[in-house]
Amino acid sequence: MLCPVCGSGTLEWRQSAGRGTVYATTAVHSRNRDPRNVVLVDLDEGFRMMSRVEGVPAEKVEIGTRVRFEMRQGEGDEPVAIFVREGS
Amino acid sequence: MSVRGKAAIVGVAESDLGEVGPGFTPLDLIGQATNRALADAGLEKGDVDGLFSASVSYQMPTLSAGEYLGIRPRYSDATMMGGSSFVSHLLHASAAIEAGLCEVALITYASTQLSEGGFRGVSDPPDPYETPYRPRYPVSMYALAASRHMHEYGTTREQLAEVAVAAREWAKLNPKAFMRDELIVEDVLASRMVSSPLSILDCCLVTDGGGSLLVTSPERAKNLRKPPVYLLGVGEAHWHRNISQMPDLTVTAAADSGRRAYEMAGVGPADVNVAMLYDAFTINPILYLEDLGFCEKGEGGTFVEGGRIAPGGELALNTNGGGLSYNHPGMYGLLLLVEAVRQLRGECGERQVEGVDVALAHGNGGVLSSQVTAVLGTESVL
Repeated sequence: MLCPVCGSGTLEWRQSAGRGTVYATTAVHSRNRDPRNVVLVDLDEGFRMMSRVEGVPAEKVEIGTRVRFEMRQGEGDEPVAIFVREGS
Repeated sequence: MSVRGKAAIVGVAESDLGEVGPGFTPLDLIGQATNRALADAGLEKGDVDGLFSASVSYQMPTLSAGEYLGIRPRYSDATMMGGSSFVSHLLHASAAIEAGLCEVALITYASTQLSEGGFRGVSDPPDPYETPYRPRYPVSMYALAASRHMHEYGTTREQLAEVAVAAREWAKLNPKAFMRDELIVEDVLASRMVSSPLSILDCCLVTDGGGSLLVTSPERAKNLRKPPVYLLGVGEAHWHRNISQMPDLTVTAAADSGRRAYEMAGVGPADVNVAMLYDAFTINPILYLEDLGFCEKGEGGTFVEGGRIAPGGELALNTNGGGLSYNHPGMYGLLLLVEAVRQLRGECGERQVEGVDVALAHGNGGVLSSQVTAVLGTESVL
């Protein structure tokens, strides 16, 4: 595993505080069910990740919204990192 | 090193397009397009000694095409970076011709995606950082970029819709276009949402079809059937593969590929008479108008308003009707070049733009990932 910026293989684990800001958002529509949200979130530590925002309709997620990390159980029992609005 | 003026496109053709129906394989369409391109150029199959292709159906596309066509190339290149691959092949072919590694290069592609039942994406393994969130590939990735552009620059769904409407107006002038019926902005806004803010009419078509392109040295080009179209400049760039790794969703690597192409060509956006900008989704031409210098960053939405890119507008853009209304057989980059060449030759009939000496073809691949820009010209601008 390499750092794509400096190329170094000497990496260390760091923990994010799990707080960030919605950078981009879309609601994915499917027939006969509610749209699902997909976002890119900019974490306060300076990295970006794909995720979804829960607790608000998919179409109502807005860019610039402050969000915090929560864990959900994904398919096949894999943990999935999702976000909820800060203060919710 | 520059390949400016070191190669010329001498033959272009499409295969049958639209929906070819059952019984055709992509290789059958490659055969059709190649025979037509050879006839267009006045060349024989035996003249071809360089072969270039990319595919989502065939993992070794030049081997499959070579076997089917009975061509035994001495130079073979299956560079695959999505829909832009064929614009990239043009650069690679020119370099190979200049280096004496081949003399007549065939670039070819075809797909039967529509007859097979729909869009066929790439077969990459699932990405653990994106797949769990179930974005719809590739539309959701482009939708994310559109959402950011709207947020930062106030771009509207109406402006996105104008791109689709302009494409349709051009398509009405092209007998080979798949969609030619009336389309207005309100239709786009009211159409089924796929991945917001992109509705079904913000998305390119899924059709069958393909094309072939023949490239050779300027010396050899002089004695062939059609006036040569010269390669003035080509630039490649890619900065990411996955959308979550794209540094800024409002700036594509076209900013680099365009600059490289213009520098090699010795021209700028003001010199371009026809621009073929890969319109996989309506947001794409808006981003490329900005990144290729036709307007400032953030002004792409305003630029496309009021029929400015439609027939009779200020900039002749996607004159075949684009991926949005003409044809989009999975990967569309080769068909951009076919139209650019025909505009430079003056072969476009009702949709022909007056006095075309410089045409730009810009290919996109992946999820706004690979960007390849080619500037082509007639002999008068060599």
